[in-house]
Amino acid sequence: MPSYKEIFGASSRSRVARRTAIQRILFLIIFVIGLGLLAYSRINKDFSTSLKTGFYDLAAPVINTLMEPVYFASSVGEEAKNLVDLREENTRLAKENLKLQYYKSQVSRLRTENTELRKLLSFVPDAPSKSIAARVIATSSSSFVKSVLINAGQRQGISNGDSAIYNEALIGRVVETGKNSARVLLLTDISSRIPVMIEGTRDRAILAGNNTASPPLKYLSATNNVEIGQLVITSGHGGIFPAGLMIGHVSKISEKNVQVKLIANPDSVDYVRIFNFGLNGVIDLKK
Amino acid sequence: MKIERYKPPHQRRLENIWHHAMPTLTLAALTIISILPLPIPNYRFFTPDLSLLAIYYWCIYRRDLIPLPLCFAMGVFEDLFDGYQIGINAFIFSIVFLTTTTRARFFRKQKYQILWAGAAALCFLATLLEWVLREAFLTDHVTLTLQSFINAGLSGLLFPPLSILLSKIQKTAPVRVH
Repeated sequence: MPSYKEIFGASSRSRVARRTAIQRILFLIIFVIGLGLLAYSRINKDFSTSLKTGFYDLAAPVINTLMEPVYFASSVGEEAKNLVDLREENTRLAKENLKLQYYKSQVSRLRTENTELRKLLSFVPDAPSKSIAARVIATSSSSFVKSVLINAGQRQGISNGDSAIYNEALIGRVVETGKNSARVLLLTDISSRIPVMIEGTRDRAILAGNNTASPPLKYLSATNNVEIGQLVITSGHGGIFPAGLMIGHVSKISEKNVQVKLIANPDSVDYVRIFNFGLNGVIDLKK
Repeated sequence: MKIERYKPPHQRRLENIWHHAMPTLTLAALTIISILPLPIPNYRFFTPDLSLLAIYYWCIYRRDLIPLPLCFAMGVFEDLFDGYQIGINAFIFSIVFLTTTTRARFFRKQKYQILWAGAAALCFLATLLEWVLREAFLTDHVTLTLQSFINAGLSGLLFPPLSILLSKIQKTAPVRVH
């Protein structure tokens, strides 16, 4: 007579025990792979960079497609809001237009004067900048990381070290470039360090990201004349960013540090303009 | 006696596929949602850890259908988007998987409030673990900010609606079809 095991196979208890054992071994393998991956991507940066850029190129079109309905719904909502605000917006624009007409005439006069003076001094002008608009297609899911993925890469002329600008203010720089996508490291990220100066006093410092919306200024001289509300701009040191790009305003001064409130909030950016100012930097970031 | 409605073989096959793929698909969908720049005010500032909650839920209710390699792969997927060391989220998700599966039976017997508290505690522990790993593997000093804790708290608060959604999805394939 056949035994119970022969008819029904192993008992459910032994099956559970076997499954638990397999799971333990599997977890051990995954644990080792995870640690190995962490260590290897830490040691070999080229491996992780090539893996990431390759992945971005694969993922970018998929995310773009997934986001299309969201963009559509968002644009419909935006259109409806614009229609409601149309009259108010028209009045505001008419006033702004009057102001701009005045500034236009001033700019035209100053440009002519500037050109003449540059000719007199034989001034070497900055290289002309190239820019491209790109859409933010993905963000980091962690609160410890502040970077975004954009849908433009090497094929669109983007390279590492390019400046990411939103509403005339710097928000970050390109750190990894794929063929059709790139990753922008935001000013708020923990590893972001930007040489800046205070407009007016010309005090120099380093804007150090700390994963918050108000990054502090480091290495500010003890005899600085910084006041709340002063504009913080790029200093041009290091040769990555040109001097004069707007960043933010001094928002808090304490004994420990000086905090800067960024003009463009990187957490709410949907589009960015990527500028190539033709600067190579002291360290070659194009590699 | 309740008589089961006759279902043609292809429908049974489809139900079977759906039954097995349900946790994988929902986890993949929530992982993708967590990296998309959704047009919600301050969404990027307060990003809830949806994938972590999904792993927690499925490990408790359908631990047979959520394999560890899948959780690991989803972690690698998030790591690639983060742009830092590959393996941090993968490691965290694996730990969450192990912690939850070993206590799945306990959680299933508890009241919903305990389950919810477990999810919130897990979110905070995952945040602390992530901080420890980033501190260990990054050259820069990583500080624990208020945002990190708000994110963990928000993830905990989002567990009830997410668990309702996942249970509704689970009910679409309530019986294992052979």
